[in-house]
Amino acid sequence: MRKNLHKRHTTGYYVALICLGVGALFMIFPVIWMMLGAFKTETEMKSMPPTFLPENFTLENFSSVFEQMPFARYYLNSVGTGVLNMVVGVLTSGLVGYVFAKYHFKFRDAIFLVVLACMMIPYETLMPTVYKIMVGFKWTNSYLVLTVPYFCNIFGIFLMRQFFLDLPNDYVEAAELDGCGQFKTWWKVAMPLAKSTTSALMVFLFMASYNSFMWPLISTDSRKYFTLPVGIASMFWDRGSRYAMLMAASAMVILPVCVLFMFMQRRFIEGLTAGGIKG
Amino acid sequence: MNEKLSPRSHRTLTRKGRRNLFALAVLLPFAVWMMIYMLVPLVSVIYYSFTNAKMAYDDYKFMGLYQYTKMFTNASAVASIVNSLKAALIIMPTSLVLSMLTALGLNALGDRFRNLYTFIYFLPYVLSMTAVCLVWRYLYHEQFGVFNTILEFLGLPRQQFLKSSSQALFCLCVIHIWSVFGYYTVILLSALRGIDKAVLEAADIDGANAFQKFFKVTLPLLKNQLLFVCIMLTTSAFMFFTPSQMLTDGTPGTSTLVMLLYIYKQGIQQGDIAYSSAMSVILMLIILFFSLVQWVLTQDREKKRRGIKPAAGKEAV
Repeated sequence: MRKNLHKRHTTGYYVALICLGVGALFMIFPVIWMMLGAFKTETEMKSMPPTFLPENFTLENFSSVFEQMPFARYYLNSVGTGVLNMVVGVLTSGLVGYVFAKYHFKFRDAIFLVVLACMMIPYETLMPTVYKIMVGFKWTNSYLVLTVPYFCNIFGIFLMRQFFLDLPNDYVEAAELDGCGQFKTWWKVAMPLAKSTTSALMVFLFMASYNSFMWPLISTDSRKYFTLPVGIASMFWDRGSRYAMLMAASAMVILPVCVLFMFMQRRFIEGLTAGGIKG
Repeated sequence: MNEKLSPRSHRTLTRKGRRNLFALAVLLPFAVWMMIYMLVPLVSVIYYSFTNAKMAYDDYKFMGLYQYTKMFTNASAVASIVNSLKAALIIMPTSLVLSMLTALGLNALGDRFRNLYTFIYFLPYVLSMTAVCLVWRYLYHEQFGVFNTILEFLGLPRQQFLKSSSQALFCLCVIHIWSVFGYYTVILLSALRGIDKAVLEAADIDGANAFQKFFKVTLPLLKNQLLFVCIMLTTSAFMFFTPSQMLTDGTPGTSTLVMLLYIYKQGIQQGDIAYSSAMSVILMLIILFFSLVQWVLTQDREKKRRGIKPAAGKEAV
């Protein structure tokens, strides 16, 4: 008697498989089209009908990106501020979340409710006023304006508090009895236990900083401080018809994220959907 | 003697004192940050909207409802409100249905294909919006865009897409939907996978067909997640900005001028912060209104079903 190793699938399964497969092609097509376009020549980009694979494979687009604009600088700005914002953001979220979960003080829950309510504010609508405050500080057109606003993240605080609430008090008390100070207890005991939450949060914070467009656009107008999204947008406004070069620049912006996402799919999805799934 | 035995005895604070000090040391900087980046901007947006404040000057005077009357009598301001509502009406239902259908489909698949497809559907969400806008601009191009090539191949007339005042907003909404709906798919998928299989089997035994199972069992169990998705979608639909700012700048005419872009143009480019604040207040009220309506609607249903609360569906995967 031969055992049937293949699970039998219903028609519903095949309908879903094929429909989603077709949908997936539509989803991925713009990304593939961008990657292919990056290797085509400008004339090929504008040929009718368009070619699918590059006929005259060229790397010239990539070099002209670096010639046309300080692309390396934009890269450094984006990645540098992204990493800094991520590290500081995780630390502040961890600290504030820990205090809201494990310390008792007057009006703690009321204060936390106010903080949470701020998460509901559509933040983009406040940007002109935030900008005015930053102008008052004379912080515009500097790295301060690309970093300090990202240093605290209410969603991150919420996430970390949620984790620390579930953490038994015994851990904290045991560490304090062993002679750990408050900070050391948090850093040596609480934070290492929160590793999976913090790694998801790190993805969230890095992506929030790396992809943000509106705030860097508002707050910087010197090329020295442009991040990648603002950089390629300004390139589009200056040289809107050079599609092959624009595709090369876009491909270089999204490629690191694509690769990271491929290798850390679960972490990415956990980090970016944490609020939704728990809520 | 005592000092050598207990290394911490030099500290004069009690445990409670030390804990309070630590909490204060953490919360004070955080409070300052909250003031600068949340509370002061929020209060001043409301306050400025009743004044004639400008970005460049510090003195201003109280103007009452002047900015609001100016806004509601200005054609482009009204157009931006209409466009935002239109965009929300396009983005909200489409993304909701698409993400629900995709989640149901993914839920029917085995692990391997589910993971592969989840990757592909979620991918646009992690990519920089400005970068993908560029390739969409190229796809939509009037002369050598792929979409026009396909239309021509099918024997249909070529379209202007982003250059046409009747199509541009819809085209930009497509970019937005493409980029975000995978996110909601994953949220709904994880909610679907959290549903207890026994509940669906019980419905099977009772002779429910696929549609009845979906509308009578699955949907009510997903109520919380659907409410969350709806509210998030509403907010994100009104925060629709990058495609119209970058690709069309509100043109042709005012057909893609959405509220947030209008706020940006007036507040940042014109420096009229009082006027842009009035628009910000209206935008916040609109989002608040829609969120409340959705919340109230789901609460009512809950009351009707009280007493037969099912015991499944809350746990995430």
